[in-house]
Amino acid sequence: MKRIFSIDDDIESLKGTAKALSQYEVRIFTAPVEAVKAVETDKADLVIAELPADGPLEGWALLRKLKKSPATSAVPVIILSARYSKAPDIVRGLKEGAEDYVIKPVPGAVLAARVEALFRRFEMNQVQKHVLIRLGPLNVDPQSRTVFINEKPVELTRMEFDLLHYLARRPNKTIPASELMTKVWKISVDVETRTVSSHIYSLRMKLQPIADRLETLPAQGYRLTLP
Amino acid sequence: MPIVPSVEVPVKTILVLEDEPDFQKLLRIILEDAGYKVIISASAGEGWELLTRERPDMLLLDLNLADGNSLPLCRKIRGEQLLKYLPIIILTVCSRPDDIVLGLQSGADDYMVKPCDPEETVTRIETLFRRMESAPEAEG
Repeated sequence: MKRIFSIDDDIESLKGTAKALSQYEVRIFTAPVEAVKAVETDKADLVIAELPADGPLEGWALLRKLKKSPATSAVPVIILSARYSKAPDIVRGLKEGAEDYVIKPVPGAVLAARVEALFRRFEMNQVQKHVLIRLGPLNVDPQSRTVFINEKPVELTRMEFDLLHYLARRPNKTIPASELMTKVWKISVDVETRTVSSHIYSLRMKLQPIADRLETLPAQGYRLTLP
Repeated sequence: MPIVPSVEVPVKTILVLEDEPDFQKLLRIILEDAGYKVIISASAGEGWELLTRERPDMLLLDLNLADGNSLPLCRKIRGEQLLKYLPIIILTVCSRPDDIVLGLQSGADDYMVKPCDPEETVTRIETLFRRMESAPEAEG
């Protein structure tokens, strides 16, 4: 069962949230500092927080604390606020890392549907990452990290596999070299794009029967064109 | 040494399905100003064709399209192998809680009630793109 930590100085609001989200395990906190400590030590799948009226984590400090600390930054946060309820507040909250921003009062069913939509997307991300990809003659299996073309296995290096997997999850889309550097190589600085082009070249050699489907679009990027 | 991207940042394409001309114009301005490529259509039927042909990166969907309810389209997208992971934001005048719940349960990731603040609209789009890349997806 997913575990949600709900933080608010208004106990009635916390009770409402817990009731609306009764299909989840909801832990409620009226003290933000204590709540942040709990997020650091216990595994939370989601934090739903009002921005505190006072105290050391007053206002935006709570969200900033959660999003800046390595121990808590990966935990998604929904701001559920009556205190900061204008469009610029929503913009600020989302830009500072909140996953969603909901204005109180909100019907319980709406809050539950928003939470569900958030979890659904995370699950889709997870599935998308692990699902076997079949594109015409090409099969890419991220579980076993194997690739088959017309049922014949293809030997790839680790980076070649990661590169092909990234492209195969986005068939027929042009992916710029910069995106490949960031997402496959995890490097976001200026690095010679020959790193990408040389891997594309070697990948193309190994994908021989469908080599022409791995296209280079000058000044735009790379594309795997398969049905 | 300054850090610069090795090539230009990719332009993401957003398909807007909206049949109200003034809102079409407004969304085009807002989204193009934010750096997105925008495709607009007023019909759910043509929208489906554009989704499969143009493969946009996100769909902004009005609920009251002239040629039918948008929610079946939303559900159809979630059931289609090539499109099922498409991020969808519903943008509509329908503000009843039941509408919001139904929209989200039909597969939308976010739901905004018109009139929408332009900056909030763009920020919610950026947030959804970030969500697409978050946690598990960011690994690979």
